[in-house]
Amino acid sequence: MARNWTRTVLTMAAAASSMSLLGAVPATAAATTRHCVLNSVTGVQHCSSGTQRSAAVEQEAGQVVQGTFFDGPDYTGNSLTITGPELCKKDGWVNWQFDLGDDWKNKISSVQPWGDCWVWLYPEPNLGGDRDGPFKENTGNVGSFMDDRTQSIGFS
Amino acid sequence: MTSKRTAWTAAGLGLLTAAGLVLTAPGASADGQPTARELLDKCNNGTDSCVFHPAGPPEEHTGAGHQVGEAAFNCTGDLQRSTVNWSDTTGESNSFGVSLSAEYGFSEVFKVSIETSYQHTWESSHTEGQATNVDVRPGEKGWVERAPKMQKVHGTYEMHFPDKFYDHYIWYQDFDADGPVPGSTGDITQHTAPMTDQERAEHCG
Repeated sequence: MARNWTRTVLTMAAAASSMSLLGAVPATAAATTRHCVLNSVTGVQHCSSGTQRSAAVEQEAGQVVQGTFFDGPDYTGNSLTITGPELCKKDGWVNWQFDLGDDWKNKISSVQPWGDCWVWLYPEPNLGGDRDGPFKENTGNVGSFMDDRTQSIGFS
Repeated sequence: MTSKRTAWTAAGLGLLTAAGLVLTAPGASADGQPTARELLDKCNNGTDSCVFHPAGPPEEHTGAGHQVGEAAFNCTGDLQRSTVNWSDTTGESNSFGVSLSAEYGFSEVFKVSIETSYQHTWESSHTEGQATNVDVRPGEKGWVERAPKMQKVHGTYEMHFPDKFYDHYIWYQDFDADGPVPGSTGDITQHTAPMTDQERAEHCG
């Protein structure tokens, strides 16, 4: 039985998950950047503050990183790393798609494709509306056409 | 135009995961795992692909200040202006103590990534030289210090292998490097202090 891979970031559940991992968040944490790794299969998201994105990646061992997205240019600000079960196939199709949760909608400014994937950005959920891409390599600025507009992502 | 198709989920994909797709190498050798250095040596030297993903832009900071050139000792009774000629070379350091100037696959991947991501180069070594004047009062010594401008980069190598390498097709390896900011002189400062008795004996006779 086939199941749709499309996942939407569950903002509240993810926040609860990260809180249980991190415990009490110090007052100064609000000023630091937040780096999350989201398992697109389970929908579970792990977050950390500062620059410990890789530590979070380790928690996803067994998953393949397919892309990292930043809300600032040049890979600055908060980041969202999306993992999946395997590499992109390079078969001319969008192999994986992902709808961003409200906390990440209209924020992406720089992208890094991983896992042999090309990244496509869309301004509406479910790969709707305009399309920008493919982003085939680390891109420090997605450009004015889709800057702060992305609501769903395709991996091909 | 690329068509949209949502991929299937299936138990078979789970098996791929169970076969060991990814892992992050430990810093030191562990049973059944390569060292980080052993892994990086495979970058573009046995991999299908090797990509460096920076975790952010280079972070500029000021390196440790240190004396450059010789100190000037004023053994006269008048204020003296001394010219200190100096040359100072700043190198790089990284997680594995390997010079990125060497022709390793991972060093080339790193440098290309920095250049394409940030439109500036990575410099493994930078030499700066000047003639700096120092005014030294009678009975004092003067010297010049330089604190180089440095840039720190943190990121992750992503490596895909055609065949399993230590039982995995994909490896991720964190990497940190610190090197001089290309073309930067750094902070040049002049200092004076009274000579010690030993210095007076050595330099003023």
